[in-house]
Parts: sequence; structure tokens; C-alpha cells
Amino acid sequence: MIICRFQAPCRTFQWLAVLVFPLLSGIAHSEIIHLQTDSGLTINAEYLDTTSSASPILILHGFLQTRDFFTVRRIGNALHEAGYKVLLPNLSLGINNRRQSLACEAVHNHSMQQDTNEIALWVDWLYDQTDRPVTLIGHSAGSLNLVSYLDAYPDSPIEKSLLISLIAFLQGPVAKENAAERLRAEADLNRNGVRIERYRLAYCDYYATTAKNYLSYLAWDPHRTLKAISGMKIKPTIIFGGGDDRLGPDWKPQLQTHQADIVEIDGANHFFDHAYEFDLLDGIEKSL
Amino acid sequence: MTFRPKPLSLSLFTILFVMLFLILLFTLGNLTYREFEQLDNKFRIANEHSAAAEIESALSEAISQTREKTRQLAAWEEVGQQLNNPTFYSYWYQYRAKNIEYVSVYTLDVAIYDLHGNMLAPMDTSILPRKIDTDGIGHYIQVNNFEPLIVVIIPMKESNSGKKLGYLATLSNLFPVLKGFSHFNHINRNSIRVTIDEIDMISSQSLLEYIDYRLTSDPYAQAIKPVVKQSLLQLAGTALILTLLIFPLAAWLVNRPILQISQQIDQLQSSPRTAVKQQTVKPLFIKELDKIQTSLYAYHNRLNQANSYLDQKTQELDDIVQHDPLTGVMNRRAFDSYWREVTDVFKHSADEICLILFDINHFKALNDTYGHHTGDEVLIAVAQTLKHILHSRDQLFRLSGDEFATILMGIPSRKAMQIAKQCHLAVINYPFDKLGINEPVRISIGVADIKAEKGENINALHWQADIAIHFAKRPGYSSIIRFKPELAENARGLFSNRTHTAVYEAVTRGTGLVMHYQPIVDLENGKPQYYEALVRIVHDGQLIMPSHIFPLVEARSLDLDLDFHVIEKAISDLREGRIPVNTGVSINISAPAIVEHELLQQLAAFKPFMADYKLLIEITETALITQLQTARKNLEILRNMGFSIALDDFGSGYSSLRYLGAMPVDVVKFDITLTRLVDDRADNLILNHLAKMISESGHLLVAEGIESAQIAEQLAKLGFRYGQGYYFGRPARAIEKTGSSKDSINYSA
Repeated sequence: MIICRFQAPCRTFQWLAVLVFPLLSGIAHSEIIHLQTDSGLTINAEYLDTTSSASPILILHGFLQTRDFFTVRRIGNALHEAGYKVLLPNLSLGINNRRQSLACEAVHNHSMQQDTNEIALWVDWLYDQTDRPVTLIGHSAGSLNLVSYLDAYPDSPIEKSLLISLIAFLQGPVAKENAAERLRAEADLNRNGVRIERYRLAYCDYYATTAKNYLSYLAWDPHRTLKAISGMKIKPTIIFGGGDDRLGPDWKPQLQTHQADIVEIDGANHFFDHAYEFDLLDGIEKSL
Repeated sequence: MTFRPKPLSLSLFTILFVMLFLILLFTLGNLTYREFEQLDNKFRIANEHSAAAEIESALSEAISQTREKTRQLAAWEEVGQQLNNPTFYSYWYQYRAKNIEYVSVYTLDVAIYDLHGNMLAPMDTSILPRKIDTDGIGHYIQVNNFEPLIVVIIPMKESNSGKKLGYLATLSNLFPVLKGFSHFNHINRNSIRVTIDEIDMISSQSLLEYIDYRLTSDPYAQAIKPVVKQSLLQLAGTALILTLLIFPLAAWLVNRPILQISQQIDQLQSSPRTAVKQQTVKPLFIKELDKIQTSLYAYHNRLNQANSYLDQKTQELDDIVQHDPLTGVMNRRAFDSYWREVTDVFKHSADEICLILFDINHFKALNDTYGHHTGDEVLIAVAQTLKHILHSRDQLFRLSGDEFATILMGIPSRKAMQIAKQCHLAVINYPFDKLGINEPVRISIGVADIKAEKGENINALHWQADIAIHFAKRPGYSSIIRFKPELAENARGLFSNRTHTAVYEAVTRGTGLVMHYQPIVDLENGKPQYYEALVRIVHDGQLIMPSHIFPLVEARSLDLDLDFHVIEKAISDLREGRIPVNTGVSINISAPAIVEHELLQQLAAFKPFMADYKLLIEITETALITQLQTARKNLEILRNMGFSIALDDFGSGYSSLRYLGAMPVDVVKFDITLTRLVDDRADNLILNHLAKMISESGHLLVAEGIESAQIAEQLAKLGFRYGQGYYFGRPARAIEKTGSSKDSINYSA
């Protein structure tokens, strides 16, 4: 594994390796994997298989996105091309066999627990498939989902975890939710927990869901998140963009205080787009 | 008769041509405009068809797009989410169903149905049916308030298993899709509308019947139509103006020269003999017409030259035709023409007209004797002499060989006779010896005159002159004879048609020809020695005498025919015994016949009678013998055959002695004019010496015209052996059977 951190000459070599590796590592292919949840929903993931014996990697997309979101798709393709077995699941978000991103205004009939359970299903499936501990990579809210999973399933066969642009609800300047919304949701929950309401969550001004489901996400505020990270057996690697404007000023220091391995890529934003994509890949490679 | 249409004038043709051109032009323009209208109509019909196809295609496209949009909506996972969990369908329907990301702006309503066709949740605001017929999946159209709407219903299936989950229905406004997404070339999209207010369900094909629209005017056709109209009008106007300007100009340019040429042709026709100076002719602007004009005048002048030449030649021909080429005087043709003019003048004039005929005596003999060249010189000399006398005022005509004539108008007969005498005298005085002619050349002149005021017929003038000259040529008459009625009496036989016919028949065929015989007696004893055969013609019981016979014979040159018949008749009479045996018979043979060999064969028929008869051939001395050598030879032959040759009428001519010396003559018969000299003492002396000379030269003398015994006695004393005359006997058909014609006493007395 080649990790060339922040050194531009290494980037060219890395790209060359990415292109040449599939030829050297045998025939690689992808397939869509479907699993059935306990609620009867069909969930799907794209499995990019290789003959590598390295730890398989599960890459989870961000809030309301799919595996085709460019940040995770590029990471997945790059790692797959680098020879890793990669699994790119789509969280169902309450939609059967979901393949499309979900709008804020859509009916959100899902909760953090359901997301965590689906991650568990995919980790188990991947472990069963590879018989190797799984490496988890998440982006943004997907990283938070992985934190939730690692918190809920502390004995799961996990090799390591890379939490890219990790966020927590009720944190950061972009987050629409606030304490008042929580209170409103809690009131709604007490009054009629199954009614669809429009709340504010993350970047959504109108997030249609039930109070219960809404609160399941709000529960993962920075406090709970830091607590979960602190309780992890294997400390995660957290990669941030130096220019990520979605992070509150206290978020990285708080994480550092909880002994997290933090990698910061100067200038990159929340999504590591443009040229920072390669720096992100360098950081991931280094972490792996 | 071939119909020949009356030609029209060039101006009329020009006007007709202009009118025809204008009619053709406007007809062509009208046809072109009609063609354009038809083409425009074709375009319009084609446009209508294209528009119909276009609206049908647009409707189909709109439906297709709506269905596609519905299919896209069905692919939206939130729809599937509602089918899996319709708990929040009302919320979804209210806030999400018309998400413009998946739903067209023209979609009015969306509904999701379960497998049984029931809407997932009844929506009061929904305009889609709450329940659908799951068998009628697809689309249908309804019209609501003139607005066509389309309902598309498609089944919803699970993406991975294909399991049917329910149905999705959309209600869309059709026309905005139709108008918004289709490109119309032939239809004004704003004019598309439905003509029906409301229909629950209708197929797209049926909807077409209710769609109305206006055609988009073809910009090309719309642009070109006024251009074509304007072009046609401009073309027509321009053509009209050009026609009205150019045609008169062209007509003037062409018409005027042609009319000028036509007028010049008229002028040339009116005065064809006028030569045209081409330098004075105004030139024409058009090369070809100027060439025609120049050629016309050139041809005209050449024609004039040719006409002048022809006139000259005609004049020369007329001169040739009307003039005698030998003598230079006018010929018979000119005489006839002039005679017609005279006849016309005579009808309206009181002047006296005199016709004078001239005839050269014995010209044929002169011609034969001295040759044709000399004869021609004689003719020329006589003609010039006469012409000189007649001066130039009176035309001299040569009517035939030696016959000349002149017509004197307004001249009294006395004066005419003086002119005739001057002519006669001038001929006598002409020195013909220069031409080698020894004998005197004389002319006979017949004069006939007539006066219109006497009511005489001018046509008789020629006949009268003929009679006059006939007698002028006769022995014993003056050489100049003026016609008198008594001459016509004497010449009746000659000029009587009846006599003429009888003589001609007798001479040519022998019909009526009889021989009378006059005795020639021995002056010593008065006994007939032989008989002269004298020709007579018996016609209608009348005798035609020689005076009527010989002029015709001479005029018609029937001498030989007459001689042949005389020989036949004489032989016939000998056979019949009409002539006493031991006498003889003499036959007159004409001078032309004596040179004919055929005559010898005829005369040979006398041979059987030579033993019993004395046969004599009398040659008429008055008619000069031509071809002396031949005549002499033939006479020698006849003498050898046993004939005696007698020279008849000796003394009446002028070369008797010459012939006497040249010819083998046995007997010389003195003419009565000589015989009568016996009464005159002086002449008697001459006659005495002449008779003595001839007698001493060995010739037997015979005297003619003895009418008394005294003359017979005197002649006997002069040496005449035989005598002939009324004293001894008149010519008669039958010969008396006596010993002598007169007894010796009387005779001796």
C-alpha cells in the first residue's frame, strides 16, 4: 500500500499505480447486492470485488445521498482500483430498494436505528463474503451513521474506520436543527408520534418525518457522538478538510480531546472536490 | 379560275401583328398567373396535408411525451415509497406529488392506485378518478371546457423483481405539451384549438377531428405571390409600353421604307420608260430594304436598257419583217399592213387613193438567162429607180418576185398617171447594160384609182390594178394601163371564178380540153400541109378561148401540164382519124416544157403516126427560152425522132434572130405583126429582106394572120412557103375533107 501524504510527486505515482494495479491484481468486477431487512424492505449495495486479501472496505454515503454521490463514488472506485474489495451500500431511508437520493421534502419514514441496522447487515454480509474484518469509511452523516453502528455493535468484525468530514447533528453553522426544533419534535412526539411533520434538519428547511424518527437523528448530537467515539475499541481516523465550513469551531478540538486520529487536508471543503479528491485519497491510503 | 385573295396593306398587317402580339402577351401573362394560382393552390393543399400530418404527429408526440413523463414519474422512488407504505400518501400527494423535477408543469394531477385500481387515499382535490379500470391501462383523452386533457395510467412494478405494485395515473394538459414541444412548419401554433366543449373519453385519432387550426402561411409563397403578381404586372406594363413604343417605331422604320418602295414601284409602273438616277434616290435606313430599293432601281434601269435594246431589235425586226432585204423597199407584209391603214383612212377621207402596180417584163427569162445575181441587181435597180421617182413621200412595196406597188393618197389620177409614166421612163433610161444585160428591161404598170366620195369599194382597187397590169403586159397594149370598167369585161374570163375553175381543171386533168385545128396551107396551091393544134376548153357548152387560158397557165406555171394534155389530145385525135392522113399536125410547146426530159417521152408517143403524118413542134417565141443548151439538145433529139421544129410568133419578140441562129429550127412562123408589114412598102422591104435572109438560111417560112388572098399572094412572092390565117380557115374541132382550103383561083387572086 502506497501512502504519500501531501507530497505532490507521489500523486502521479499513485495515479499510475491505480491504473496499473487492476491489471496486476487479477480480474475485478462489480455487482449489486440485495438484502432484505426485518421490516421487509429491500436494500442494495454495490460490491466491487477483487481477489485482494486485504480488509474489505464498506463505504457509506452522506445525508440523504446514495453511493453515487461523487465523494464516496470516487473513493470507492479508487480503492477498488487500488485492489480493495469495496462495498457501497445505499441506506434505504424507508424506501424499498432505493437508488435515488432523497429530497428533504420527501416523506422520511426512516430513523437512525434503521440506518444502523442496515449497516450491520452489510458489515455482516461483507465479513461473510470475505471472511476478513471490515474497514469502514463514511462521509459526513455517513460517518455519523458508522459511529452509531460502532456504538451499537461494538463487537462487530471491524478492521478500522475512516470517518471523513464527520459531523454531528446540532453542530456546525450549516445545521438547520436547533434546540427549539428538538423541543417541538418532542412535543409532537408526545402529542401524536406517527404524524408527519416538517422539521429542520441538517441542511433541510423542510424535513418531513415523524417526531420519533426526527428525534432519532437529533439524538446524535456532538456530545453523544464524542462519547461513542471515546468508547470505541479501535480509534477511528477522522479526515477533515481544512476548508470545511460545515464544522463548528469546537468540533475538531473536541474530537482531538477524545483521542481521535485526525487528518486534515488543507484547503479541502466538506466534499473534497476538485483537486482535493486526490489529497483525500492520499489520506485514506495512508490511513489504510 | 383561281381565287386570289386581295392583299392587305403593310400597315394593317402591322396593326394586326401588334394586336396579336398584345393578345398573346396578355394571354401568356394570364396563363402564367393562372399557373401560379394553381401552383399556389397545390402548395396550399400540400400545406393542408402537411399541417394535418403535422398536427397528428404533434399530438402523437405530445401523448408520447406525456407518457414518457409519466414513466419518469413512475420511476421516482417516492412513488414506489407510497405504494410500499401509503401511510403518508395524503401528505405526499399534497406536498410531493407535483414535484416539478419529475412532473411536467402541464401535469394537472397525479394519483397512485393499488393493484385493485383504488386510489391509495381518496383526495378531494384530485380530479383523477378514485378508481381506475385496471384493464384500461394506457391513456385516454378527455375534453373539459375546450381544453384537451390526457390521462396516462401505467403500472408500477418493483424494480428488482418486476412485481406489480399498483398504478400511477397522471392528468396533463395536452395542448401546452403539443404546442410547447412540437415544431410547427405549417400550423400557426397559437391558432390550435378544440372545437368541442366537453368529452369524457376520446381517442387521440378522434380528437384530431375536433382540432382546428390555421395554416401557417408559407413565407416563400406569401413572399413570392405578390412578387409574381407585381412581376407579371410590370412585365405586362413594360411589354405594353414597349409594344406601343417599339412597334410603331419598328413599323415606322420598316413600314415607311416599304411604303416608299411601293410608291416608287407605282411611279415606275406609271412611267416605266423613265430611267432613275440612283444618286437622287433617298437612301433607306434599313440595309436590306435599301438594298431592295437599290436593286429595284438597278433592275428597273437594266430593264429599261433591255427594253430599249428590245425596242431597237424589234424595230430592226420590224424593218426586217417589213422590208425586203434585197431591194430595201417595203415588203408584202408591210404592204398589207399599210393597206389596212389606208382602208381605215379611206373610210374617213374624201381623198383619192391610187394603187400602182409595177411588173418587170420577162424578168424570169432575164433571171434565167443572166443568172440570179444579175436578176437581183435588176430588181435592185428597178426598185431604186422607182423609189427615186416616188421620192420618199410614197412607199414602194415589193409584193412578189418582180412585182412592185405603191399607194398614192390625195393625188389625182392624172397626176398618178404622170408618176407612172415617169417611173416607166426612168426604168427605160436606166443603163442596164452596166449589169451586162443587152436586152432592154421594161416594166408594165397597172394603175387603179378610187374616190371615196363616189362610194366605191376600196377592196376592188387591188383587183382593178391587177387587171390593169395584166393588160399592160399583154402584147398590143400600152405598158401603162389605167383601169377602166371595159378592161374588166375583157378580163372577165381571167378573173371569173367559174372560168378559172374550168381552166384549172382542164389544164391539170384534161377535163373539157379539146383541140381545134387550123390549117397551114401551101401558098402555091392552097392545099393544107398540116394543122396547128390549138387548145380550147369546153365548159358548160361554152368554149374557153386561149386568151383566158394562157394567162392562168402562165400565172400558175402550168405550162408543162397543159403541154402534156395537149400531146395526149393530139395523139387521141390522130388515133381517131380527125386529122387527114398525109397531112400533118403541129403542137405548141411552151418554153419551160421544152427543156423537160419528160416531154421527150411524151412526144415519143407520136412515133407511130410519123409514117402518115408530118409532125411539127412549135416553140413559142414570145416566151423566151431559158436554158438554151438543154432546149437545143432536146430539140435536136426531137428532130432526130422525126419532128420538125417551128419557131412560133417570130417577130413579136426581140431576140428572134438570136434564137433562130441558136436553135435547130426548121420552120419560122412570122408573127402577125410582121405579116401585116406587107401592106407598108418600106416595111415590106424589110420583110422582104428578112424573109429572104431566113429562107436562104434554109428555113421554111410560114406566115400567120393571112386574112386575104392579096396578102397571101404578096407573102408568097416574098418567099413564104406556107400560110395560116382566117383566109385559109379558122380553128375548128373538125377538119373539112377537102383538097384545099381555098381554090387556087381565089387563092391566086
